[in-house]
Amino acid sequence: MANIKDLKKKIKSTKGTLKITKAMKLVSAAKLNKAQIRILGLRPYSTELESTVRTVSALAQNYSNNYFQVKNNNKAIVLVVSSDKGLCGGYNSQLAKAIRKFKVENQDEDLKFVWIGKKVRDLISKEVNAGQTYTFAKIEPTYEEVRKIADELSHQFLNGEVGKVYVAYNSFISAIAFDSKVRQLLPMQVAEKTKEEIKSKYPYDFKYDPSAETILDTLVPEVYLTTVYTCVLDAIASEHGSRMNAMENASKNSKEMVKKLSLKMNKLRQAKITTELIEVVSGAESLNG
Amino acid sequence: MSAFKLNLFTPKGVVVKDLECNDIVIPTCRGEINILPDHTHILTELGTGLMTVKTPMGTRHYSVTAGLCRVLKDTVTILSFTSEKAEEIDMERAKSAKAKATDRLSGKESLSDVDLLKFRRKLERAELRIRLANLK
Repeated sequence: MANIKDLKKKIKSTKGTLKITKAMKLVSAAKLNKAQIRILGLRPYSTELESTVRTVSALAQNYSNNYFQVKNNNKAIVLVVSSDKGLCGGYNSQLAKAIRKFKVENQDEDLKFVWIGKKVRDLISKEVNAGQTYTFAKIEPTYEEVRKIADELSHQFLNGEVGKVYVAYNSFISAIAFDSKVRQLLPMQVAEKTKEEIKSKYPYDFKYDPSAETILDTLVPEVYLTTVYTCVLDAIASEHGSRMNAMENASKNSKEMVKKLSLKMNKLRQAKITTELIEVVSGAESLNG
Repeated sequence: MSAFKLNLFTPKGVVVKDLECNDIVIPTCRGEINILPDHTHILTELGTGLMTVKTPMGTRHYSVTAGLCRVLKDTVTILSFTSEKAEEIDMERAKSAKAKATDRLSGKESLSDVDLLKFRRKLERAELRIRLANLK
């Protein structure tokens, strides 16, 4: 049976943990705020850009770009965007799960994984063909740093080393929700059905200046870059959100634990006092008797 | 008078969303174009320069650098790499940036091609900022 001293110690340490988790929650909340502003600011830009390219490439007859070319190569590269730090709930394990599922679904492809963030790498690197890990100078990556990584991957695609480029990341939905997904980056695809839909939606064509081909030539790499950048920012925002949540839960659990332990300790203390009282009373009675 | 809507997005954030306006002057890669209500559908590359927007509430100015402009029905969507409002410009900084870039480009020291391009762009941006700030 636990004695009062042990319980006291336990309560003290739980209170210490509570302080840490509370502080971590506050830090994550502040970081999430910043990351959220960044991703929500970028999203309209990237969606507009993407839809423009989709529309123009559907309207322009027989346009072809290297980024659209389907290669006869079953090698593929997967960029996994995870976190460097733990204590963020199911953030990394859910992504790992999504990747495992993806791997089973695409067994005919020779997948090679490259990493941003080491947590998912540590989880699954033994099961897969693991490649290099990219790191950033600061925790928050800059546009330039992301561009370097994106360029490296697109370069491998363009010179035919790999046939496909995927990215696996957690997409930010809200502070308490994210969605783990694997998305194909290259070759870019516009399904025939969507093409038809776009064509029926725009019975007229745009007036282009310069030509549609020239615009697409500059836009397509831009879309690819922006998509990669969006994915990275998405992952960062959901990491902070996920950590905030995890820490909130941890704080809640700590509080409950302290309550439970205090109750137990008080009960023990009362029992001890009662026994002492009985001893004193019965001692006095035996003297009187 | 009929009006149309303007959206101005950059990777850093949404600058303008659904702003009612009736006259826009946009710098494109081949000179400025003026957009009025019921403009034809166009898709064009943006140049670096000043954008003037006339709204019922008054005239506003923005700087834009390379990007894309799409005019569709009654919406003008501008996707620019960077964009600033006149109120956001720090005049002192722009001036010192201009002085620095002019100094580097003055030919005192030899510059590599990459640097030359970089400082030319810097000078261009600084001049644009000063022009924008003067319109305030």
